[in-house]
Amino acid sequence: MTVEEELRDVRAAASGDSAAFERIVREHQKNVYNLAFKLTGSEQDALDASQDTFLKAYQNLRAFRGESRLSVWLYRLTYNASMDIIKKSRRGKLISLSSDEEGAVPEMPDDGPTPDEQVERRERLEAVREAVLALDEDKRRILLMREYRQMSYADIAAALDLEEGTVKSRLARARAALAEILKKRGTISFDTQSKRQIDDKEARRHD
Amino acid sequence: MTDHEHFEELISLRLDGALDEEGEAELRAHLETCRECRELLALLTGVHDALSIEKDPPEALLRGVMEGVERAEKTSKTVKMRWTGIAAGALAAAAALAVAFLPHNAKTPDSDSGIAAYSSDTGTPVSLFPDTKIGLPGEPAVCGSVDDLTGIRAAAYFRELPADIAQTGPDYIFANGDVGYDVPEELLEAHRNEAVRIDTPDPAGAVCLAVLLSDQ
Repeated sequence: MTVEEELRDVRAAASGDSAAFERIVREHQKNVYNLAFKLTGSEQDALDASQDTFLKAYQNLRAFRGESRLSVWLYRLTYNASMDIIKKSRRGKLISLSSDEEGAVPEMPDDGPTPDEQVERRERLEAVREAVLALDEDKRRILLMREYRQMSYADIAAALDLEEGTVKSRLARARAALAEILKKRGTISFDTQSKRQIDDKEARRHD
Repeated sequence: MTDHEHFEELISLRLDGALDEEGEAELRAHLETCRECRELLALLTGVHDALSIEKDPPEALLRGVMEGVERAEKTSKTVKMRWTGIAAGALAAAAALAVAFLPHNAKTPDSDSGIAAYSSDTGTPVSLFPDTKIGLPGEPAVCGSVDDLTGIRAAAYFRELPADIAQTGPDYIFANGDVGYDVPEELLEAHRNEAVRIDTPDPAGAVCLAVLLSDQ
């Protein structure tokens, strides 16, 4: 979809053309859903955050005037909707820990049987997210752009008004800082499989 | 750039598939002797792999959104809103909940001045917008105060809201009676001089907020 087509659909949708809004959702739902999944770590939360995002976008379409791409605006809404859900989920945990009365503990939604792999993936995504949020602003922003939104070096450079070389070095610093936080926290192991692969490769080189 | 930083950059480039042959050879040679860099590469590869997800969105996403759009259209046409005070009991319970989760510097919601949106037809609290923070049926979940600015790029406070901002919302209704509007940064900036106060606590934040101050 070109910028002009997108803006045309936005204007049509803002005037109540639901077919135009459906085209917008179809165009952006994959990026929105994947970003929400990486932030929340859960398919159900990602679905909720994505729906919140698009409904919020629908209610505020008139405020979108095309100064930035719709994807950038949706990214902000998705980030916000995901963080809202994460905060709510933290509240749920707090309530259940602080409640003394038997039976007063709110039940977490039953998603059915959860394979270990899903749990492990969620824990990893949560650990990464918390470490990313603990970074300073510059590092967090560039990591979100590259690792969460898969933006190219060129796009990041344009968005931050930097040279590509500077993007590369700042990204490296941000990743090193992230690794440092994860190592210090040590709450979860990311490296078992990757490290084994790397060690195997290095070992083979010595054979 | 120190040696250490140089190899951090090579590792970072390798993760993105952007390391050239010369750099690859240099990194490989270094990894043979540097345990610290091997560990860094392993950890960051794990992080990168965890985030290299590409899932197809479920069909329920589009369906749910379009149903929500339809509902919103119907609601805006048929439900007359009126502003009214939250029942004291419900608000007190909500305030107790909210206090537990607010950051230490946040204001406690004022238990006498809460505002919710109710449907005048049924008397049931309804949500003005999908993520309105209060007034959901059975759950008077009072939002934090306007001092809880986590995730907000900038917040401007107005006694009288400029008309073009007022058209965009409202998005939040705070327990102390203030009303919040998510607005584009440029719009907020255009009305900088009319604001009684502007806060910029988190430049990374996802939204800009215009706040119409209540009369208290």
